Amino acid sequence: MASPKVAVVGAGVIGLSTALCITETCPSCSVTVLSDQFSPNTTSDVAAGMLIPHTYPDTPIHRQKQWFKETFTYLFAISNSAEASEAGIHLVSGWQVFKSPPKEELPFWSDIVLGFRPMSEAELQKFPQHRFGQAFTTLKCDCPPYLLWLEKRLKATGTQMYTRKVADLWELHGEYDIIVNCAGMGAQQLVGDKQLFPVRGQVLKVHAPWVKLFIRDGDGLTYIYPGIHRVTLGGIREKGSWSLSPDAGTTRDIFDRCCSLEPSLQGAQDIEVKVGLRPSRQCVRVQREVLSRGGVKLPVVHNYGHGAGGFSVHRGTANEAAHLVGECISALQGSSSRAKL
Amino acid sequence: MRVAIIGAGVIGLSSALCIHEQFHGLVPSLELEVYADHFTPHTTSDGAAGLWQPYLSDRGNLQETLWNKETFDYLLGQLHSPAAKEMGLFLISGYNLFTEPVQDPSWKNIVLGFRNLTPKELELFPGYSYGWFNTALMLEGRSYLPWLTNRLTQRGVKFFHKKVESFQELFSQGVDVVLNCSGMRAGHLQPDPELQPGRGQIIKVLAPWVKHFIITHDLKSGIYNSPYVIPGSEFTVLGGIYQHGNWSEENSAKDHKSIWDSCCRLLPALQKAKIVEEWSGLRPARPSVRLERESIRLGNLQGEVIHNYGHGGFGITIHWGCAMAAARLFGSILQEKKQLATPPGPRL
Repeated sequence: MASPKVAVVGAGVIGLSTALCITETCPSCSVTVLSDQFSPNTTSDVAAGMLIPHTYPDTPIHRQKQWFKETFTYLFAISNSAEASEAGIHLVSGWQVFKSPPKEELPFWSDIVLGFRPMSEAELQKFPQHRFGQAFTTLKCDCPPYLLWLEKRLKATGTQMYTRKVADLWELHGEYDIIVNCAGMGAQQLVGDKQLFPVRGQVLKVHAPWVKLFIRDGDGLTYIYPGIHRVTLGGIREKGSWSLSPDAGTTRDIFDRCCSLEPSLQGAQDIEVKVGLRPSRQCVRVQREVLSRGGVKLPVVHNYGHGAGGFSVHRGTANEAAHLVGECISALQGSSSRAKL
Repeated sequence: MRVAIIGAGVIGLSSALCIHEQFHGLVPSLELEVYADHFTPHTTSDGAAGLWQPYLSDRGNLQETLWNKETFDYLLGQLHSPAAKEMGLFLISGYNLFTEPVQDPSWKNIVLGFRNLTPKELELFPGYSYGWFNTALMLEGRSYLPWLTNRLTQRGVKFFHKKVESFQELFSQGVDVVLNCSGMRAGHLQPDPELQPGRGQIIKVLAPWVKHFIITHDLKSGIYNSPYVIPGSEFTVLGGIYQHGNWSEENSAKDHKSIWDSCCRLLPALQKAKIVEEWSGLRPARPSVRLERESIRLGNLQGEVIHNYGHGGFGITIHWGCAMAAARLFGSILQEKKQLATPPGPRL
């Protein structure tokens, strides 16, 4: 197989980064990205893009840690380069505060982020309702810049990108040799995965450029994440809700909760409300599958179900998916040479 | 009781506010007047980035360390007030970088979360092998000075756009006490060879992705002669010039290149930052801050002067502690004039 044709379905952070990894590990591949949405209309565009991992209940911790470490290392190098501002990657320091003692004193990612330590008494005084806290420095991927930067890198490798709604992976058979399913929430319909469910999120993106530190409540529901031009205030987790409409009561509630952590947000301007559906799963599905229909085979690599933690592990799962694509290619080459005998 | 404040930088305005807050209720006849030839945004304070951070060494002036602490604690207390945004006050974290291990600074327990940098953090800054991380405060002059001016105006303090040539000029007009907050030009009012300019130059850029201050140190070349990057609420300040004895307020192309090249080496992404403004100013440098009373007598003219100048590159850092100290000196003047000690009741 001279130039395997790979289709990546999905153009959020997972689709684009997976496509990029494939061009890096398999330069002879011809990669095409197909998606019904591109930035700024993907789920990724709603997310703040903070590198603070979400823990997947059914994925082994060492695997999650490996994914996070690879992602952090990759972005750390970009943040330190001349491309940082274009890619939208920047360091941000701040605090995670808890009203009651955290389940784990040291989360699995504490040695990957920078300078992780407990908050001092003096720092905790800023949060009278909270009794414990962690201070650290991590990275943030601002969207749309990061997605646009990935698109630019992809175009430079000759990757084509098309707006196209794929209703069935079999549609792509014949056109492409290998399909990579990075459809996020769309995978529920696309491959009928009933383990995948939406967790509806709502955020406010506001103009508050004096906010330089992130603040996150350890319960994960209230957070303040300063981006390049806007600060993301969140949030909410509504399991099973498919609604993409902003809810006014939720907006008020998020604003109040964030102002109680950071009173100066009362002066925030230009509030933009956004909604996204976290494509949630007990474990991220990074897996090879060979679909079969009437004797015809279709190799598929899945990379979806990242829920609340897409940005934190995107590069790690993209690397793994690209590796699985390599296995698919070997398998195809193996069977094609067998066919020649 | 007429009090004239010379100078409308951070020192003059904050001293005026502190005195008015403490004494206007106790001294009904108190009248405050601010005299300056430059007002915000044209003062030295307006050029400062606004980062609260004292010098590395307290130069033996423990009093200054106390004033720095008073200022930090006061500002921290204001952080959650509705005024914080208008004041230009916010928290900021960042890095101090060195090429060799150094002693912890006098202010390590004043700031929040002071710690040494980890090896991985130092990877961000090739060429630097040691450093600190801490969370401090920003108090932006271009917001703080107008805020102080508004508070003073609300309190009935009068402003005069005027260059005062001598203390006597004011005493002859009936001023009782002069607060000398004239910064760099205090020497025009009274010669002071210890007061020298510490010329600085800065480049203001648009780099909103920078969320930390980064101050590098070259122990051989002295304070602020090594690149620094300080992100404000709108612009990021690039600097790293400290020229002792240089009175020029003209921007120098050589200094521009030095700041730009060294800051871009420190943070490569700055190469893409848009330059918005360039500025030079003179830090009013002195071996120690001059904060003391002086009785001036000339012929039959007499008056009290409270000097409050010589804050070098740490004016914002120390301003409130000094304002309180100046207010205490004012209180002692009032006691001597029996303005405070007079019990309530009819005057004879």
